Amino acid sequence: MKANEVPQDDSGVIGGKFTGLKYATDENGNYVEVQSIGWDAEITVLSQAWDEVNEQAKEALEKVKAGQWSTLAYHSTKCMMNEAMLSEYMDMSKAKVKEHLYNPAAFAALPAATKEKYAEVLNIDLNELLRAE
Amino acid sequence: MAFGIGSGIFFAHMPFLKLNGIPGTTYRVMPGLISKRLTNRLGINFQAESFGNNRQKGMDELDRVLDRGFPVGMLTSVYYLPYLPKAFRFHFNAHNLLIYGKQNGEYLVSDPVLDFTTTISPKDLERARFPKGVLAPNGRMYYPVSVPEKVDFNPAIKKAIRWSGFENIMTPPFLPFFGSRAINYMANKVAKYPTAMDERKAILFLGNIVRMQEEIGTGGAGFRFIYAAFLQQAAKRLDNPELSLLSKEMTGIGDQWRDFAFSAGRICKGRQAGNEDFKSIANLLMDIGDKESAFFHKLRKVKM
Repeated sequence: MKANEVPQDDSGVIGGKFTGLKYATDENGNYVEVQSIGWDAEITVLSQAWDEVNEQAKEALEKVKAGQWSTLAYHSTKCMMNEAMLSEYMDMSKAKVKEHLYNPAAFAALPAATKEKYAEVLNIDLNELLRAE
Repeated sequence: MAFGIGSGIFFAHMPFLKLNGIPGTTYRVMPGLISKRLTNRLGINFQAESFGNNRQKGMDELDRVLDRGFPVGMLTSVYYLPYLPKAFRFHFNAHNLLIYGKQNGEYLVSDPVLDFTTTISPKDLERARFPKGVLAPNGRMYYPVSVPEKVDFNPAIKKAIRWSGFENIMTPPFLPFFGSRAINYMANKVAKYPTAMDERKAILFLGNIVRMQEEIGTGGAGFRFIYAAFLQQAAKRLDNPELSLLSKEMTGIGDQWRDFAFSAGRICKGRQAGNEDFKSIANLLMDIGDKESAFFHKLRKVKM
């Protein structure tokens, strides 16, 4: 990659103020460091990864509204926290975590302390955890 | 130079190691290995420790080492680093950063992703050092205890180059996931994406390969340009024209990776997962795989 060809594609995704270091060659073929504000290809795949997260969160939200999943399922999807990770953080079996995710009644019946711990793990406050919108 | 002497250059595609259901792809060796090799080869006395799930111990030890005046490198999850732009914050557990002091109850951070220094609160740093999931770092931290007065770079460079030549091509046939051959392995997988899964997934899998390749910190083309820069420096230091040619060859391979990313990005953007599109980018990968194999064969035998 030539130094003067390092892409400088602007995007809202990275926030504009952010640059990444790229290695490129100058006119004599010597390697130089060039700051790049972004590249379309890179931005496309990054936004795509976030679109996927948002899409999954949207699907989870619908399930919550339909009364099929608990609000925990929505928030953990939003935080990209899968069952395995939740079970590790909570120090709980995967089966139990699954019950809390996919059985709203079971989640609602949990003691306040357990809900609090879930909120702590997801880095949100308890009130937020109990809502989904 | 550090990446080269640490023999960082590698490739692996691991369908058995899934992150959020997406096969793992990496363009470098395992986290921690580069610094380990680098310090071994340069004779730097390096202390590394991890703390299981003992967060308190991990934070106390950090303070203790900082008090002794050492800067401390550590593994963290980018998800829990509040100073990074939201767009980068996925659950990725192998992000290295440097803490170089503590001031007014906040840690002073030098993060390779930022071109300025910043601070982080003890609570946030603790979270970032002890995440769960794939490659959980368990608070792993490392620091140089002593550095030799005179470091002899040339033997370290030669050793590192030979090692990379060996490591990238000498993986056994029953492990197609590692080394240059894994690029061809991945090419075959990519060619089958449109028939093996639905469109959304196919595009997600492909996008992830590109993301790992171009993510911040790779220097572009999945560390290939950084490695070519290293070979260029090595060629000068050792006055070795053969290495200089190999540097150019690696730059060419890097350019091909960029071409692949460009084409793959277009497929992802257009959300068209046609058989033909995937076949043609799989062919690009196949060619890159062949070129990398040939490259590392030469690198292994280069006269130094």
